[in-house]
Amino acid sequence: MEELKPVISIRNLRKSYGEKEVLKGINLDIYRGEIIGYIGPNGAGKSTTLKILIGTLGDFSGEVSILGYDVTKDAMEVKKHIGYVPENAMLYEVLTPMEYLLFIGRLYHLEDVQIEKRATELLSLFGLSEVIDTRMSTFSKGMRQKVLLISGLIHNPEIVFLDEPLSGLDANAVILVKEILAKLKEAGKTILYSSHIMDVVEKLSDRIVIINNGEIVANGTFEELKTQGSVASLESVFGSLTGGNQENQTRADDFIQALSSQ
Amino acid sequence: MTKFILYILDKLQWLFKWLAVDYHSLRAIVEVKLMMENRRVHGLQRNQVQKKEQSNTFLKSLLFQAIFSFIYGLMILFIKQPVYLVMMLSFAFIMFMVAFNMISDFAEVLFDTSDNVILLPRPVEGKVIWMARLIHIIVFLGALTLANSLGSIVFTTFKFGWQAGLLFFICVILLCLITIFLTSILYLLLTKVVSEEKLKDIIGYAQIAFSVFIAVGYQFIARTDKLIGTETQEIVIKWWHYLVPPAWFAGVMEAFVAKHFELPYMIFTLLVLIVPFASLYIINNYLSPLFAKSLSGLGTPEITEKRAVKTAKKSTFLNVLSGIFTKTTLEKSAFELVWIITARDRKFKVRAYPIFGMLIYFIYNYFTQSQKEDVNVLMILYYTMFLIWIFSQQIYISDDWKASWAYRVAPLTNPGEVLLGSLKSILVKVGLPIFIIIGAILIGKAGFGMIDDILFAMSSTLLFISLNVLTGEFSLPFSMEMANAKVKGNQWLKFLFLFLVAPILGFVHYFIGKTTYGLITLTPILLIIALLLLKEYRKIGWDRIKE
Repeated sequence: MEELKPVISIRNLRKSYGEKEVLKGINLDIYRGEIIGYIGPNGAGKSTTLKILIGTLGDFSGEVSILGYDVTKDAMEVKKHIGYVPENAMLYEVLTPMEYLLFIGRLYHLEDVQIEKRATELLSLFGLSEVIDTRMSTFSKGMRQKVLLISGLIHNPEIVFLDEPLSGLDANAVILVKEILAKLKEAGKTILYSSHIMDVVEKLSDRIVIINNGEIVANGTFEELKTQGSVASLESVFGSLTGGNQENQTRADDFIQALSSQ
Repeated sequence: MTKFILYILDKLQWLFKWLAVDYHSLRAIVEVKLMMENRRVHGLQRNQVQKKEQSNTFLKSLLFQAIFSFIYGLMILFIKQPVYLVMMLSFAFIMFMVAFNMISDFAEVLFDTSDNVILLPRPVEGKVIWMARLIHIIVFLGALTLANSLGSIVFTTFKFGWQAGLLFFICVILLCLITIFLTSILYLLLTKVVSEEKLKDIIGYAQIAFSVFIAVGYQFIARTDKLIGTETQEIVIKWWHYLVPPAWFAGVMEAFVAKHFELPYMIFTLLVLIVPFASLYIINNYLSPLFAKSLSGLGTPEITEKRAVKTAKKSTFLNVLSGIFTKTTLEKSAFELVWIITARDRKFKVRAYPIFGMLIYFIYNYFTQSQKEDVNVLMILYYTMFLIWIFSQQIYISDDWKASWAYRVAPLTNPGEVLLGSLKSILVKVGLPIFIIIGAILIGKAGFGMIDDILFAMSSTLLFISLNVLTGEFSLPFSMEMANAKVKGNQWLKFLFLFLVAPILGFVHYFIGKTTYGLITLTPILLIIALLLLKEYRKIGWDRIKE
């Protein structure tokens, strides 16, 4: 009955910054091999949830465990088994991709030979073999995103967290990443990612979790969400649940109005 | 260089094992950090010229500090005092320089949150990151410390033999470590007492207070021991000597050179041997876990975003001021930008405010040493000039330097007006009030006879600052990065100014002051030249702005 035990379990998660409560009691179970799309408007609490899950943000209330480890008590154990690809392409630009990946790999106590082998293969899969020894300061946003993606996966983690994994990638790379995510799922990895691009979420996710104002407002497959809201696209489901649909039209008008006023 | 440091670290593995630090990760982080420091220098980057300058800055400041150490070290040869007292002065000087460099330039490395995104999600313990940062600081500060002690080492060898020189060298290394560790402990304790959100602000102010304390404190140590005496006079060890590290090291030297093995010297030796390791142990086992917790909170955007800082919609006072002092909209906007950011940017305050410390010291001197009154007046006036000049130099640096793309995107034809506006902002915000306060103090003590001195100093300050227009290249306000550790330590270049240019101007002032109408006639002339030069600022075009 291994299948039924969630790999990620969040119970009554609350987090506040000063007076403001950003997460108001999140409950979520994620099982092995699932791809979860985690979406919500700006400031809804997506990144906060992710940061808590990867163990970089403490001081919350509730229980969060990953692979049976508590994220606060066994942070090191958790970190060993997860991979994280952040949204902002922050990496040490003066290094080459190989040097950077070597550095990251060492933090997971991988052998240099093994890291070099993996890095070479992964970089060439992304078409970066030409620039393997070029400093990343000259890289485009998409190239950096590819290196970031590899750096989050190089230690072959059980669970992968991705924040806007497709941002800045060209069309081919997007397809490649989608394929990779599907293959990772086949290999039994669990993936949780956040994105604003609705049609990607729609196509890629087994399950979609929508968060608004620190609360989960929807949790189910795309089909389930569609019947729930009786609309055709995820975009409209999203709009109706987070209160955007009707307003957006008038807001756009107001925006143009404000620009042309004297 | 990097290889050499890693080699030493490899040899010290036992130390990290003792501290239960994961050496594998530690080595990886230190290697990458050092590699990046090297790259920043030789990197074929967009602003290559500037980077080159920066690398030179570090070398230059090494060189200057080394030269100065010889001048200072001369006292080892010439002061007729027991070894203990001479050495205490030497070590106090070195410790002062280390602490000064640490606080002004390197302490921020400890609390750097820029690579949190890279390091925190990895299975790396907080104390490893912390230790890597300490090592990073030790490498750079170690170089500066050696530069500062070079003269003293040479003269000690010359006077007391090579064994004493070697011992001095070892002492210097331990002193450097003690200084770094003690400063770190101080900062770490702060993180414990203070709430996460306020932490960065408080660290900033503590930095200011601490450096003022050290600068003034050093002056007092240097003064308490009169410089004339005999080499055989009796040494009086006061109770506070047990609290100040320079005295411990001086005790060790005394014991070695003069073969004194009485109890106090043995205590000093023990302190020297135990304190560095004990403090490292305390930092690692008790303080850095606490620090790691608060570190992850620091610098997360949510906190700053959500901490509602209420600001008045628009300060009418500032509006009126900028209206009076500026002519064009561009000037006005630069004036207000600099005014507002200098009030809010914590790092700006940390860099700029500590220099007020010495001013307090000079004013204290002015009130206590009546015999050298006119010299002390000049010290105050020309230190003030130095201070305003430093402020005017600090506005180019910012953590948000990337935001300066806005200047280049905007249809801005006259960058000179931006420069002029920001310069005026500093002059009105810092220059004017400080001269009013200084003026009030001087007039309060010595009467209205001082007024021509004050006015003359004001116009020569204005002239000195406007002379900048003759330099070739300029940076726009808040458009330069300070992250590079190689550029750190350049604070020292400012002291060159303090020791050379300001005294010369002071002398000129002194001799003109001897004539009857000299100051009164020259003041308007200087003022007119200064104003004409300031006008030239408007003509600075894009060709003279640094990329």
